[in-house]
Amino acid sequence: MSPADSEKPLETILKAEADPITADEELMRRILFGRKFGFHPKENPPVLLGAFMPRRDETEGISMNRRACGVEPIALKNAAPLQVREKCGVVSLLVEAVETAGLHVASLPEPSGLPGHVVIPELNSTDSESVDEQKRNRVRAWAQSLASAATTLIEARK
Amino acid sequence: MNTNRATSATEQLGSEADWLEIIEETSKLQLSADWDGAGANSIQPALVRSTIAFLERSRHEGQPVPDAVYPLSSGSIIAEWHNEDRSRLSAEIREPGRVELMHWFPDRPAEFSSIPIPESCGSAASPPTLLEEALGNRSFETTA
Repeated sequence: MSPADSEKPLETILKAEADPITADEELMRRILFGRKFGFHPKENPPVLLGAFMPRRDETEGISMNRRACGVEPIALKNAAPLQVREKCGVVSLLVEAVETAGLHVASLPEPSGLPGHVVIPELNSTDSESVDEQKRNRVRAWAQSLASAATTLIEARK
Repeated sequence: MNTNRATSATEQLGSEADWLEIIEETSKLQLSADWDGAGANSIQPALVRSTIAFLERSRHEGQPVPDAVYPLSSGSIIAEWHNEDRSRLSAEIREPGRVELMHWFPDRPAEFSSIPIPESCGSAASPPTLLEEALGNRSFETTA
């Protein structure tokens, strides 16, 4: 959200799921295991590669949510399965960073889920768990590119 | 980056306590299936043992302590190092006895290699690996 946006009525800032996804939009992803070990701690520890590695059920690409569709980070955390909810964190990055990495964002609304659900099709579990080493390596390098451009909104707990 | 104070060798490589902590944390990564609530594969004991052997080898060779060690949904384990030049090294253990390394750079293609993990640290010397090349001249960020 730009400074100018803060003066606009909320309904003009929020986007519908059908609205085009723009480069300046923020995407959020729920993560586990963001903890950094105590060694030379930094105030803003980098987002780990694993944040953008596909989970097993992400065969169509990693799941993210558009913040512009009205989803707050805490809502994304609270939508996690109960057994891991407390440990979950939330990271974010701009659509621009995804496109810079050579990837794209595809809208994939979830009728019973949070609004603004999207996937990054190239980062899918079929490729990340493939027997083809080149496919696996490509996913890892992409995931690392996104991690290096991401920031932490809610720190994951150990 | 804050460079108000000099970085000691211990800070650069991590203390013995840091190593013990990360190895202890790694030993707890033996997880049951669905540990992520999204259908994750279990983390097999043999993989945990292999990861610890890899960490012990890195420690024995004087490498820095990883910034993080954590499991993936696929059932593998990753050790990750973040360098001051923004390059990152990740070591993925997908099967016992083998580690897949990726040295990622912000401005050029990533480099990949694969090396065996000896069963115990201090075994026969191996040729220089990507791990050693990537971490050998590592510089560090410090926080005052």
